[in-house]
Amino acid sequence: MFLTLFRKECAQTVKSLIYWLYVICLVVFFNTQLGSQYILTPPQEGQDSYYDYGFKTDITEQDIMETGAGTLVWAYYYDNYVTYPVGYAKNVTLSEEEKDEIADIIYELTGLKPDEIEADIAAYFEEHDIEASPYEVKLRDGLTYDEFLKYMDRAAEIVGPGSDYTEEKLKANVRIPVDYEGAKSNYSDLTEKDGLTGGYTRLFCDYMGVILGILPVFVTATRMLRDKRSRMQDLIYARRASSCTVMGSRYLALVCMHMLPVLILSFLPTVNCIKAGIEGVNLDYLAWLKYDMGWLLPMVMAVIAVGMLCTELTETALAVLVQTVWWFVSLMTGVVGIKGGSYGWNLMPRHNTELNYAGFADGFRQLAANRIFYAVLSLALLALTILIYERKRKGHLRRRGKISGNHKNSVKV
Amino acid sequence: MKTEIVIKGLNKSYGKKRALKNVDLRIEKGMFGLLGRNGAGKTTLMKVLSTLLEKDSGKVKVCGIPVEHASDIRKITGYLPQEFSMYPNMKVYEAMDYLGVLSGLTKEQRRERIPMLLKRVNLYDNAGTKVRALSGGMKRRLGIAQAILHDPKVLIVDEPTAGLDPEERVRFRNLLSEIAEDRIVILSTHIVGDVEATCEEISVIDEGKILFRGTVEKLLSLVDGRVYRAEVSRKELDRIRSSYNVTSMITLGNNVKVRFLADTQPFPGARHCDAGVEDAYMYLMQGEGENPCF
Repeated sequence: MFLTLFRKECAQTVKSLIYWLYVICLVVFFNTQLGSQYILTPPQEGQDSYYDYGFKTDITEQDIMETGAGTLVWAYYYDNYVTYPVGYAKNVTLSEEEKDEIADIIYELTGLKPDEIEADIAAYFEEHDIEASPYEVKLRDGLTYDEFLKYMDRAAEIVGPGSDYTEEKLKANVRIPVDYEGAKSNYSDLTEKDGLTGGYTRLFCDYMGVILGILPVFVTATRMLRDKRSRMQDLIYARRASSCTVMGSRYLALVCMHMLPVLILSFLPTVNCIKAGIEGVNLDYLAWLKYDMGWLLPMVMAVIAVGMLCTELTETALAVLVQTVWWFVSLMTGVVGIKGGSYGWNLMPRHNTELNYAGFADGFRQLAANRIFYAVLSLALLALTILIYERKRKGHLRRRGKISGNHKNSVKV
Repeated sequence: MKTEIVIKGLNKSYGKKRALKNVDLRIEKGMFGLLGRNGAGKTTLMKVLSTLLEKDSGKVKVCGIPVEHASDIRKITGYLPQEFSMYPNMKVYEAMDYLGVLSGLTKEQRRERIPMLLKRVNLYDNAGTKVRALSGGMKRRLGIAQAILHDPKVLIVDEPTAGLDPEERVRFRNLLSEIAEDRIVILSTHIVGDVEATCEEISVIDEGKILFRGTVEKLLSLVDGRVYRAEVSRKELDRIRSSYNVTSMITLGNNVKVRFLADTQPFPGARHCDAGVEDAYMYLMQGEGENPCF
């Protein structure tokens, strides 16, 4: 009975419009983010830049100060201050007094007066590629790291919450491209340890995870509410099938149908790697499957489980709201470790680069624990959903209809 | 396993509202009518029997199985809810097949039974029609087909004819009578005509209490000799309504043909007439269940 019901649930999902909207969203998102994916070729000595091969990981206080001060000078020069108070960019307009105060801070950090900034920026980009290297400014002699942080704290106060001038952001924003040796090492990790496809599939998981953390809840809530909308609940409740079979087959069908387009799309980076035809690389042809199952599946399981539980419990679309909040919080907290390595307990672990295998290897145990946790949590939520369903089958916890109407209206029984 | 339902001292409350009060019933094979006004407790009783509601107290056995054993009861009962519907975008056959799977039927059993049942309810030619495109009567017939899909010993049908046109209603009643040949069919309704036309045994329920149970003849005997009819002027009508339980009226110009209940000859010109189930039902309702008739 379970497998037949599973097949029927899959067929129902395929026939729903919302499911095809989900598939379209996946395809569009994939195309916009990864559609024209460029496969790295081995770095050549003497290249203009090694920007594509990753960034230095051994960041010094000097790096933080030069990059941070450069960011502030750049913002001052273009009078363009941006903050991220709730995750999204917000342009901040400073008063004349505040601008003067920023100018004072810049002078303390760099010794540059406002009328000297333009010349300094121009001089810097005569020597550096504007695409590959962010503006760095020469610091005033003798400036200590503590003094720097003190000035930057003041700048952060002036610009407002979510600015780039807090210590955490200053550290996170240092992105200094590797040199040739670093590029060779990173490329070697990508091709030898990651089998090339591993890195690109991980990047795929990073991007697709962002929408898989929210989209499945729409399909799930719609499917769960369909029984109520179609007044099918009593017909199903009165049937022989156990609650475990009804809910379990539905859950499995939703998970499989959500993963199906993901599996197909995830094979495309592997195809790109094969097409690139880079010599001497031993491709991992099954990386897509490993990453889909290990990285994305627990996430999809969790989102669907939350969707089923909330919808079954409330018989409303509350699940969409709950999941949106969870998704947003997860997205915002994930920004700090966006380049991978620090996965924590985030629903959507981030690794927004095909490189940084070392970070992946370091954080692997945490990532594995994270994914196992969400898989187990999903099954626990499913078990809870089954319990709720079983209670409702016996007339408890039902919110609408004639029966619950009895509680409110003592006349109609 | 005897095909019967035994209910003893059944109680069910919703908060402070008592929906069923010490209900005792024995229902045997054939058509059984449960008659009562809206809000009398019929749906509650139907749902308890279908395991869709848990009772507060009392004993209920369906074919010897206590109602607490929900999964066993579900194997032998079929249920057509009052507000019957199915997934509107499914085709008739598809919907039946889905419910067949939920009833635990094998592929072969479904292949054999679904066409047979669709023929029986005269929907065979609509097997490929989407549920949303069916008329009200067709939907009810589909409801019956899905309820007997797994060949249950007990079929519970809650207010099935509400909203049907007279022709569909007659067809539907006949269908239920056919089905009742080899099982218990419980027909819950507030429409007296449905019970009168189909049921051998009936019960009348009001405010959660059983006011009557027995055969139609026994019900009619309650009002034997108490039903009168008369043609009166409109002016006299108010007096008659305040003194007697009026069961029907037909206006004829300035006069009204009125049918009413009275214990003795009410006034000259009033004539005895044969009692109907509706008269008996109104008689019971007038008593408001103070003196249950078993």
